[in-house]
Amino acid sequence: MSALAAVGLPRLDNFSAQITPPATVQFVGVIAIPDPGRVLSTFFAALHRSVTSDGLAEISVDVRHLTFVNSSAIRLFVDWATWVRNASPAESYVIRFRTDRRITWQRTSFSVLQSLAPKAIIIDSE
Amino acid sequence: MNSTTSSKPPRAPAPLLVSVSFRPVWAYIDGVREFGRFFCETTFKQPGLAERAQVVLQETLENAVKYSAPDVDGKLEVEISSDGSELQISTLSHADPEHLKNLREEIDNLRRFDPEAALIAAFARAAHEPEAPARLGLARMRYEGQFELQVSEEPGGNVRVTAVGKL
Repeated sequence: MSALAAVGLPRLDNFSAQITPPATVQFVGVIAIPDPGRVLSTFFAALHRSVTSDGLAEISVDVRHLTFVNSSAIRLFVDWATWVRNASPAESYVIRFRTDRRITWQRTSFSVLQSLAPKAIIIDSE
Repeated sequence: MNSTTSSKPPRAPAPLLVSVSFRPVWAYIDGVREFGRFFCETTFKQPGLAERAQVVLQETLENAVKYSAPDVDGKLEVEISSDGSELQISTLSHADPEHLKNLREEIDNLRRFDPEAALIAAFARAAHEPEAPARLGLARMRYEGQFELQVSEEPGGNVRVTAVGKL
Protein backbone atom coordinates (compact mmCIF):
# COMPACT_ATOMS: atom_id res chain seq x y z
CA MET A 1 0.00 0.00 0.00
CA SER A 2 1.26 3.47 -0.80
CA ALA A 3 2.00 5.88 2.03
CA LEU A 4 -0.61 8.25 0.62
CA ALA A 5 -3.31 5.59 0.78
CA ALA A 6 -2.45 4.98 4.43
CA VAL A 7 -2.93 8.60 5.52
CA GLY A 8 -5.66 8.87 8.12
CA LEU A 9 -8.56 11.08 7.12
CA PRO A 10 -9.70 13.91 9.38
CA ARG A 11 -13.12 13.86 10.98
CA LEU A 12 -14.76 17.27 10.93
CA ASP A 13 -18.27 18.60 10.65
CA ASN A 14 -18.85 20.15 7.23
CA PHE A 15 -15.53 19.01 5.79
CA SER A 16 -14.28 15.75 4.35
CA ALA A 17 -11.24 14.54 2.48
CA GLN A 18 -10.88 11.63 0.14
CA ILE A 19 -7.66 10.07 -1.09
CA THR A 20 -7.56 8.22 -4.39
CA PRO A 21 -4.23 6.49 -4.99
CA PRO A 22 -1.83 6.87 -6.50
CA ALA A 23 -1.82 10.67 -6.34
CA THR A 24 -5.17 12.39 -5.91
CA VAL A 25 -6.77 14.09 -2.92
CA GLN A 26 -10.19 15.73 -2.85
CA PHE A 27 -11.45 18.20 -0.27
CA VAL A 28 -15.17 18.82 0.10
CA GLY A 29 -17.21 21.19 2.26
CA VAL A 30 -16.36 24.20 4.38
CA ILE A 31 -13.52 24.91 6.79
CA ALA A 32 -14.52 27.72 9.15
CA ILE A 33 -13.67 26.36 12.57
CA PRO A 34 -11.76 28.39 15.19
CA ASP A 35 -8.35 26.78 14.82
CA PRO A 36 -8.25 24.53 11.77
CA GLY A 37 -4.52 24.03 12.16
CA ARG A 38 -5.08 22.23 15.44
CA VAL A 39 -7.10 19.48 13.76
CA LEU A 40 -5.87 19.58 10.17
CA SER A 41 -2.16 20.48 10.20
CA THR A 42 -1.28 16.88 11.09
CA PHE A 43 -3.28 15.68 8.09
CA PHE A 44 -1.64 18.16 5.71
CA ALA A 45 1.81 17.23 7.04
CA ALA A 46 0.99 13.55 6.56
CA LEU A 47 -0.01 14.23 2.96
CA HIS A 48 3.30 15.99 2.35
CA ARG A 49 5.33 13.22 3.95
CA SER A 50 3.48 10.50 2.08
CA VAL A 51 4.00 12.16 -1.30
CA THR A 52 7.74 12.33 -0.69
CA SER A 53 7.78 8.82 0.75
CA ASP A 54 5.98 7.46 -2.30
CA GLY A 55 8.39 9.34 -4.56
CA LEU A 56 5.55 11.01 -6.45
CA ALA A 57 6.42 13.72 -8.94
CA GLU A 58 3.00 15.31 -8.59
CA ILE A 59 -0.12 15.22 -6.45
CA SER A 60 -3.51 16.42 -7.65
CA VAL A 61 -5.53 18.28 -5.03
CA ASP A 62 -9.13 18.81 -6.03
CA VAL A 63 -10.61 21.72 -4.06
CA ARG A 64 -13.49 22.51 -6.43
CA HIS A 65 -16.02 21.44 -3.83
CA LEU A 66 -14.32 23.15 -0.92
CA THR A 67 -16.73 26.04 -1.12
CA PHE A 68 -15.54 28.29 1.67
CA VAL A 69 -12.63 28.54 4.10
CA ASN A 70 -11.59 31.06 6.70
CA SER A 71 -8.18 32.68 6.60
CA SER A 72 -6.83 30.32 9.26
CA ALA A 73 -7.58 27.45 6.89
CA ILE A 74 -5.78 29.20 4.05
CA ARG A 75 -2.76 29.05 6.33
CA LEU A 76 -2.78 25.26 5.90
CA PHE A 77 -2.25 25.68 2.16
CA VAL A 78 0.45 28.29 2.77
CA ASP A 79 2.28 25.84 5.02
CA TRP A 80 2.03 23.06 2.45
CA ALA A 81 3.35 25.34 -0.28
CA THR A 82 6.24 26.29 1.97
CA TRP A 83 7.14 22.67 2.68
CA VAL A 84 7.19 21.88 -1.04
CA ARG A 85 9.15 24.99 -1.87
CA ASN A 86 11.76 24.10 0.75
CA ALA A 87 11.97 20.41 -0.12
CA SER A 88 15.30 19.02 -1.22
CA PRO A 89 15.62 18.20 -4.93
CA ALA A 90 15.26 14.50 -4.13
CA GLU A 91 11.95 15.13 -2.36
CA SER A 92 10.55 17.86 -4.56
CA TYR A 93 7.19 17.44 -6.22
CA VAL A 94 4.42 19.50 -7.76
CA ILE A 95 1.01 20.20 -6.24
CA ARG A 96 -1.61 20.55 -8.94
CA PHE A 97 -4.65 22.28 -7.48
CA ARG A 98 -7.91 21.79 -9.35
CA THR A 99 -9.98 24.88 -8.64
CA ASP A 100 -13.31 26.36 -9.65
CA ARG A 101 -12.88 29.88 -11.00
CA ARG A 102 -16.48 30.71 -10.06
CA ILE A 103 -15.62 30.39 -6.37
CA THR A 104 -14.10 33.67 -5.26
CA TRP A 105 -11.79 32.43 -2.50
CA GLN A 106 -10.27 29.84 -4.84
CA ARG A 107 -9.75 32.31 -7.67
CA THR A 108 -7.95 34.81 -5.46
CA SER A 109 -6.14 32.68 -2.90
CA PHE A 110 -4.57 30.07 -5.16
CA SER A 111 -3.11 32.59 -7.56
CA VAL A 112 -1.43 34.30 -4.61
CA LEU A 113 -0.39 30.94 -3.20
CA GLN A 114 1.31 30.11 -6.47
CA SER A 115 3.50 33.18 -6.06
CA LEU A 116 5.05 31.52 -2.99
CA ALA A 117 6.22 28.46 -4.93
CA PRO A 118 5.82 29.06 -8.67
CA LYS A 119 7.75 25.97 -9.67
CA ALA A 120 5.96 23.68 -7.25
CA ILE A 121 2.34 24.76 -7.64
CA ILE A 122 0.17 24.46 -10.72
CA ILE A 123 -3.39 25.76 -10.81
CA ASP A 124 -5.93 24.09 -13.08
CA SER A 125 -8.91 26.40 -13.03
CA GLU A 126 -12.18 25.09 -14.43
CA MET B 1 -19.31 60.73 20.34
CA ASN B 2 -17.30 58.27 18.35
CA SER B 3 -13.55 58.28 18.35
CA THR B 4 -12.04 57.23 15.07
CA THR B 5 -8.79 55.40 15.57
CA SER B 6 -7.72 54.69 12.03
CA SER B 7 -6.07 57.26 9.82
CA LYS B 8 -9.13 57.93 7.70
CA PRO B 9 -12.11 60.04 8.77
CA PRO B 10 -15.32 58.18 9.68
CA ARG B 11 -17.71 57.50 6.84
CA ALA B 12 -21.23 58.79 6.77
CA PRO B 13 -23.65 56.06 7.79
CA ALA B 14 -25.56 54.46 4.94
CA PRO B 15 -29.22 53.48 5.38
CA LEU B 16 -29.47 50.43 7.62
CA LEU B 17 -30.84 47.30 5.95
CA VAL B 18 -30.17 44.58 8.51
CA SER B 19 -29.09 44.46 12.12
CA VAL B 20 -28.34 41.26 14.02
CA SER B 21 -27.21 40.97 17.64
CA PHE B 22 -25.91 37.82 19.25
CA ARG B 23 -23.63 36.55 21.98
CA PRO B 24 -20.03 36.69 20.76
CA VAL B 25 -19.43 32.97 20.60
CA TRP B 26 -17.99 31.02 17.69
CA ALA B 27 -20.96 28.69 17.36
CA TYR B 28 -23.11 31.45 15.88
CA ILE B 29 -20.67 32.66 13.23
CA ASP B 30 -21.64 30.14 10.56
CA GLY B 31 -25.33 30.98 10.86
CA VAL B 32 -24.87 34.75 10.81
CA ARG B 33 -22.38 34.56 7.93
CA GLU B 34 -24.70 32.44 5.84
CA PHE B 35 -27.67 34.67 6.65
CA GLY B 36 -25.65 37.70 5.52
CA ARG B 37 -24.53 35.94 2.36
CA PHE B 38 -28.10 34.93 1.55
CA PHE B 39 -29.38 38.43 2.29
CA CYS B 40 -26.83 39.99 -0.07
CA GLU B 41 -27.52 37.38 -2.74
CA THR B 42 -31.25 38.05 -2.73
CA THR B 43 -31.12 41.81 -2.17
CA PHE B 44 -28.37 42.79 -4.59
CA LYS B 45 -28.00 41.32 -8.03
CA GLN B 46 -24.33 42.10 -8.55
CA PRO B 47 -22.45 38.90 -9.44
CA GLY B 48 -20.04 37.86 -6.72
CA LEU B 49 -21.22 40.37 -4.15
CA ALA B 50 -22.65 37.73 -1.82
CA GLU B 51 -19.36 35.83 -1.79
CA ARG B 52 -17.43 39.03 -1.16
CA ALA B 53 -19.75 39.82 1.74
CA GLN B 54 -19.35 36.26 3.02
CA VAL B 55 -15.60 36.71 3.35
CA VAL B 56 -15.98 40.02 5.15
CA LEU B 57 -18.60 38.63 7.52
CA GLN B 58 -16.49 35.58 8.37
CA GLU B 59 -13.32 37.51 9.06
CA THR B 60 -14.90 40.42 10.96
CA LEU B 61 -17.05 38.11 13.06
CA GLU B 62 -14.08 35.87 13.84
CA ASN B 63 -12.06 38.87 14.94
CA ALA B 64 -14.90 40.22 17.05
CA VAL B 65 -15.42 36.87 18.77
CA LYS B 66 -11.73 36.19 19.30
CA TYR B 67 -11.04 39.58 20.81
CA SER B 68 -14.24 40.24 22.69
CA ALA B 69 -13.59 41.25 26.27
CA PRO B 70 -14.45 38.39 28.63
CA ASP B 71 -17.88 39.66 29.60
CA VAL B 72 -20.77 37.28 30.23
CA ASP B 73 -23.23 39.95 29.09
CA GLY B 74 -21.26 40.72 25.94
CA LYS B 75 -23.05 41.35 22.69
CA LEU B 76 -21.89 41.40 19.10
CA GLU B 77 -23.87 43.52 16.66
CA VAL B 78 -23.64 43.16 12.90
CA GLU B 79 -25.14 45.71 10.56
CA ILE B 80 -25.49 45.65 6.80
CA SER B 81 -26.17 49.03 5.23
CA SER B 82 -26.23 50.45 1.73
CA ASP B 83 -26.78 53.76 0.01
CA GLY B 84 -27.27 52.09 -3.36
CA SER B 85 -23.71 52.51 -4.51
CA GLU B 86 -21.76 51.00 -1.62
CA LEU B 87 -22.28 48.20 0.84
CA GLN B 88 -21.24 48.65 4.46
CA ILE B 89 -20.80 45.74 6.83
CA SER B 90 -19.98 46.69 10.39
CA THR B 91 -19.49 44.85 13.64
CA LEU B 92 -19.72 46.39 17.09
CA SER B 93 -18.37 44.54 20.09
CA HIS B 94 -16.90 45.10 23.51
CA ALA B 95 -13.26 44.44 22.73
CA ASP B 96 -10.01 44.08 24.53
CA PRO B 97 -8.31 47.56 24.34
CA GLU B 98 -5.08 45.98 23.14
CA HIS B 99 -6.98 44.55 20.19
CA LEU B 100 -8.12 48.01 19.14
CA LYS B 101 -4.54 49.25 19.05
CA ASN B 102 -3.31 46.23 17.09
CA LEU B 103 -6.20 46.39 14.67
CA ARG B 104 -5.64 50.07 13.95
CA GLU B 105 -1.96 49.47 13.28
CA GLU B 106 -2.62 46.53 11.03
CA ILE B 107 -5.23 48.37 8.96
CA ASP B 108 -2.95 51.38 8.59
CA ASN B 109 -0.12 49.08 7.49
CA LEU B 110 -2.34 47.38 4.94
CA ARG B 111 -3.34 50.69 3.41
CA ARG B 112 0.24 51.33 2.38
CA PHE B 113 -0.09 48.60 -0.24
CA ASP B 114 -2.61 47.88 -2.95
CA PRO B 115 -4.89 45.00 -1.95
CA GLU B 116 -3.15 42.33 -4.04
CA ALA B 117 0.33 43.34 -2.88
CA ALA B 118 -0.87 43.37 0.72
CA LEU B 119 -2.25 39.84 0.42
CA ILE B 120 0.93 38.57 -1.25
CA ALA B 121 2.92 40.15 1.59
CA ALA B 122 0.61 38.53 4.16
CA PHE B 123 1.04 35.10 2.53
CA ALA B 124 4.82 35.58 2.47
CA ARG B 125 4.83 36.62 6.11
CA ALA B 126 2.79 33.55 7.04
CA ALA B 127 5.20 31.36 5.10
CA HIS B 128 8.20 32.83 6.89
CA GLU B 129 6.62 32.70 10.34
CA PRO B 130 5.01 29.26 10.52
CA GLU B 131 4.50 29.42 14.28
CA ALA B 132 2.98 32.90 14.34
CA PRO B 133 -0.71 33.68 13.84
CA ALA B 134 -1.54 33.86 10.16
CA ARG B 135 -3.12 37.36 10.20
CA LEU B 136 -4.38 36.89 6.66
CA GLY B 137 -7.94 37.95 7.32
CA LEU B 138 -7.71 41.72 6.95
CA ALA B 139 -5.67 41.49 3.76
CA ARG B 140 -8.09 38.92 2.42
CA MET B 141 -11.06 41.23 3.04
CA ARG B 142 -9.42 43.93 0.96
CA TYR B 143 -8.32 41.77 -1.98
CA GLU B 144 -10.86 38.99 -2.11
CA GLY B 145 -13.75 40.98 -0.66
CA GLN B 146 -12.82 44.28 -2.32
CA PHE B 147 -13.76 46.08 0.88
CA GLU B 148 -11.84 48.85 2.63
CA LEU B 149 -11.68 48.76 6.41
CA GLN B 150 -12.03 51.28 9.16
CA VAL B 151 -11.99 50.88 12.90
CA SER B 152 -13.40 53.29 15.48
CA GLU B 153 -13.85 53.37 19.22
CA GLU B 154 -17.32 53.91 20.56
CA PRO B 155 -18.63 54.61 24.06
CA GLY B 156 -18.51 51.85 26.63
CA GLY B 157 -15.29 50.30 25.39
CA ASN B 158 -16.90 49.17 22.16
CA VAL B 159 -15.04 48.81 18.90
CA ARG B 160 -16.71 49.18 15.54
CA VAL B 161 -15.10 47.69 12.46
CA THR B 162 -16.64 48.94 9.25
CA ALA B 163 -15.97 47.41 5.85
CA VAL B 164 -17.06 49.36 2.80
CA GLY B 165 -17.23 47.95 -0.69
CA LYS B 166 -18.67 49.03 -3.99
CA LEU B 167 -21.84 47.38 -5.15
